[in-house]
Amino acid sequence: MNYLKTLAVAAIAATGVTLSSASARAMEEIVIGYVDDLSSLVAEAGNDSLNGVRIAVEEANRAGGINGRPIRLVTYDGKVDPQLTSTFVTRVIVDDEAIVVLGGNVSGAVPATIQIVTEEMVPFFSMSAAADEFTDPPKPYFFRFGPSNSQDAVAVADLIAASGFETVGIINNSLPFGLDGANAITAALGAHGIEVIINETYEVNATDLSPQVAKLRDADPDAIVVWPYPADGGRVIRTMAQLDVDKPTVIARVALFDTFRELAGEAADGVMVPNTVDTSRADVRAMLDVFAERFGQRPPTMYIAMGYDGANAAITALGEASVQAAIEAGDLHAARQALLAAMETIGSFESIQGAPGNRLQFGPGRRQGLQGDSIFVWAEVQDGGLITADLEAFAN
Amino acid sequence: MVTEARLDILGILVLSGLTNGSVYALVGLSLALTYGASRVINFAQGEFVMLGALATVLFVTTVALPMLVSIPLVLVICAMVGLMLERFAYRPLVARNAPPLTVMIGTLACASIMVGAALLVWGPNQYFVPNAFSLDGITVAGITSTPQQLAIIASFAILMLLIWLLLYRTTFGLAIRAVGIDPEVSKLMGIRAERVVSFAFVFSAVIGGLAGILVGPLLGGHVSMGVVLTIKGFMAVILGGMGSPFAAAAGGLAIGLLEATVAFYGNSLYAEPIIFGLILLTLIVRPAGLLGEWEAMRR
Amino acid sequence: MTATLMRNWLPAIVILALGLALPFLVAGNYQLRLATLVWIYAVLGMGFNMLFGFAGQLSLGQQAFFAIGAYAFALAQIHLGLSLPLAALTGLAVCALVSILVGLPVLRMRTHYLAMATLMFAMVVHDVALRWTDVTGGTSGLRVPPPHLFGDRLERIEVYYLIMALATVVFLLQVFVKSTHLGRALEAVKTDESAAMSLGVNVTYYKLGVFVLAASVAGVAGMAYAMVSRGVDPSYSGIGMVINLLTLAVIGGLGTRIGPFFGAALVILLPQFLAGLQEYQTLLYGVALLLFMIFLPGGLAGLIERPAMKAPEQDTPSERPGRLGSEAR
Repeated sequence: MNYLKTLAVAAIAATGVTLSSASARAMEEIVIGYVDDLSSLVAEAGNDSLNGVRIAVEEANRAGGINGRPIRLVTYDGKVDPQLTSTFVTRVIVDDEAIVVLGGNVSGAVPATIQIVTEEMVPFFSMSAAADEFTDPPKPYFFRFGPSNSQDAVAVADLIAASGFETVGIINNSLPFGLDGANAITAALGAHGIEVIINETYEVNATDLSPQVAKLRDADPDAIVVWPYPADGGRVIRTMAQLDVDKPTVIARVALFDTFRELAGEAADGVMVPNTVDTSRADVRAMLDVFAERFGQRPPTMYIAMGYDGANAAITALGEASVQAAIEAGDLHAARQALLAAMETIGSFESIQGAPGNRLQFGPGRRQGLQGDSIFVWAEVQDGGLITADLEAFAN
Repeated sequence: MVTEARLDILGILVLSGLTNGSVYALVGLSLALTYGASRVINFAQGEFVMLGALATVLFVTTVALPMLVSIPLVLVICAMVGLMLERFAYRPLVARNAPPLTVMIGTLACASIMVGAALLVWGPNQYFVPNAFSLDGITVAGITSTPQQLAIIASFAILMLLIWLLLYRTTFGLAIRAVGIDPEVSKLMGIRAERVVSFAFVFSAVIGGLAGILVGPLLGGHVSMGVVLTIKGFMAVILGGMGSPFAAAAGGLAIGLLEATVAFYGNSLYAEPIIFGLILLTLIVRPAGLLGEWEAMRR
Repeated sequence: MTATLMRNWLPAIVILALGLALPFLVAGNYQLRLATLVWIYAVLGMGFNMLFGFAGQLSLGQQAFFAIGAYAFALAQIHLGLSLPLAALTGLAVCALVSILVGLPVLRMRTHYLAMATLMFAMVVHDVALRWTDVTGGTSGLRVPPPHLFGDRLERIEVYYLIMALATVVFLLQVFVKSTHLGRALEAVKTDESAAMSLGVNVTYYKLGVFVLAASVAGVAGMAYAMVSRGVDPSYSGIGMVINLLTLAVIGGLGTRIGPFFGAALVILLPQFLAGLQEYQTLLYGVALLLFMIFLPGGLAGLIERPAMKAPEQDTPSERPGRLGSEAR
């Protein structure tokens, strides 16, 4: 009897593995995959990007799809787990037959993802995971649609240098985002000859951050850079106000989220935030209106814009004759290769990030889409909202 | 580098240590209470803090009830979920003679259930949790704090007093202590041990919810905020010694003060691993926790 | 006699046969990846099983050795240019060495205190891996060169069989440990240390021995994982890893020989089955685990194999949860 049970369990396990095996078939629809954190720590960014992708896909499908073929978006929640994420990336490639995969708001999961998409030879469009080494040196199948760490850092350093500050204090959380950000900013400030006289780190779940902020205060830098997650960023800003640390302050993109501004309250007034979304652009406002109608009101985060940009680039490339020919022939591998080539031959893609007219540039050896100094617009926190930054006031 | 210990710095460090420490202590003492009654480390304890914080968002922000009405409602919800945890996870597992580790992993599964359910209600975004007390700074004797922060420390102190009164001044408290020392004997003496277990789960859940209401406005509310708090509480219990909720609370305060000191005088980048290392060293020197043996002698 | 032999070995033989045939049954790299991961997690689970299931030493730090093995394996290839077998030996040696250094002081502790001490060690390892960017590569970790053996680059299917072979070796090691005098000594340690000592069992020696063995096995799993992921990052020693490991051990069946295989299959495959349920998956994963534990308290392996050694006890019989259980309903 026991043997039968063994066999039954084994059989269940075996069917579990084989059940979802796919077979080659003519392509009636075009599959785009999306694998990211949709429920854990980075989920707010992950869902913003996914919804940006959805807007672009829905627009394309309303317009009749690509050459009459509808686009189907397949999503998986990899949480912040590299193993789960890379398994889902494999799954969306092998089982769901995605021609291109989007995702990548979780820095920790990206290296494993690059490995998979390189082996499977499938283009991957990455969102906000910012480590420079992902695109430098370039990885053939990896395209990034958000700013890299050093671009972020250079923008911050340029602002601080232009404002005439000579010493800087950095305070960041001990998550990868905070640690990597602090390193990149220190390097970028160094290039301007600006000294980081103090760099404090705290644990993201610490209720009280006053020891670190007190050290920051005692070091007395000209300006302060905060590289947190939304809620702990709120605590840093509040604690700074409590301890009378009244310095010009720059904070990472997470300050675009409402949570940060609600938590920080009035203390956040005047804090500068780098954003790639310029809400003075009419096309950006139009897109955000559609977004708000579909998913409810959201702050204009760059995560939404990255998703929208990434999906639109994919849709443009999918429409290329070479890609369409491969899809017509039902040759998945050829379609992916054609899309990869199309990304380079098309080269320049529309973008709702950066200054008006800014375009994403890809090419041989170029996998970082945002380029140049027109990719950031500075936002300023005022009365719990975001306004266009007053850079002159910041310098004084 | 600050070499001389200035008074205001001392104030900042003590206040910060007590605030962080009170949070760890609240989770730690609820773990210890449950452990004392059931010999189970409840790995879902941090999830009650999450539930407390997010339920506050639900009642105060979404339903727009006054804070004074919301707080009891939040605590009732936590109590109900605590009871469900005991009825539908702990009891069935124990009734089937599951090994200790299995019961603990059972509570871990409950943590996953709670996170999953919260995800359906609140979604994955981080929330601003409305504050019961003011978040604006007040300065007393040169030391700046906020009423919310002071409320965390005060609630913790009051709770310690209440637990002491309960354990040492009531008959039910005697029963709890008896079960904690020897459940078999206490059963023979006519103590209804299962009531003590139910009480411990429900009471711990309420403490967790209270902690959520208190720290939510500072930490923000997120469905996945529980795990780290459980680990911090677990650290508090082990550092203090599993003997009693008071030892666990002492452990929590010690960790909080240690964190503040290391962050200020040491290298704040390596503060986290240094603290884990110090706890490891403490355990090597005192393998049953700082107060473990003291507690054992006392009872 | 034959019947007992059959009974003892048949489940393992079925699993191995299935493992051998699997690459021919599955279509594509996704399924092959899942199958490879199952073997890796099974190895990790067997390490924990030897330590906790056989010797009663509750460690929550196995993921640290999983990571240390993987980092040493990667560093040996990147900086020393060692070949795969030599890098693997280096990884093993580093794991063994660190586990001796850690094991000597912490193994004086018991139950939850030992669990906490090992967890603290693992968190130090995780935090240092995250922060010591120059050596560990920080968040992004290190890349591992494509696996080569005897000059040939290994295909994915060869990597699969290599890892399966490792799992088989670890399984045999586990059976060996359990069925020789070693197993009896460990059981004596688990049941009652003082009694074991008075019977002449060198408790410290056996505890340290099984701790080092378990750490090395975790290191093997870590190296296999690094080979498959072609990299190593701080998540190897993260909390998620130990949660998966504990779940695997309990669902598979504590103290059983084939439990880790079942547990690993469940921990890897269940999230894949639930993936289609979108926002319900976290909830249902928890519900599924809880139901498994309630209805199969002995684990999946408990269906076909009685744990040859009874479920691990705590310090004294009254330290068990559930000692109130018979009446609490």
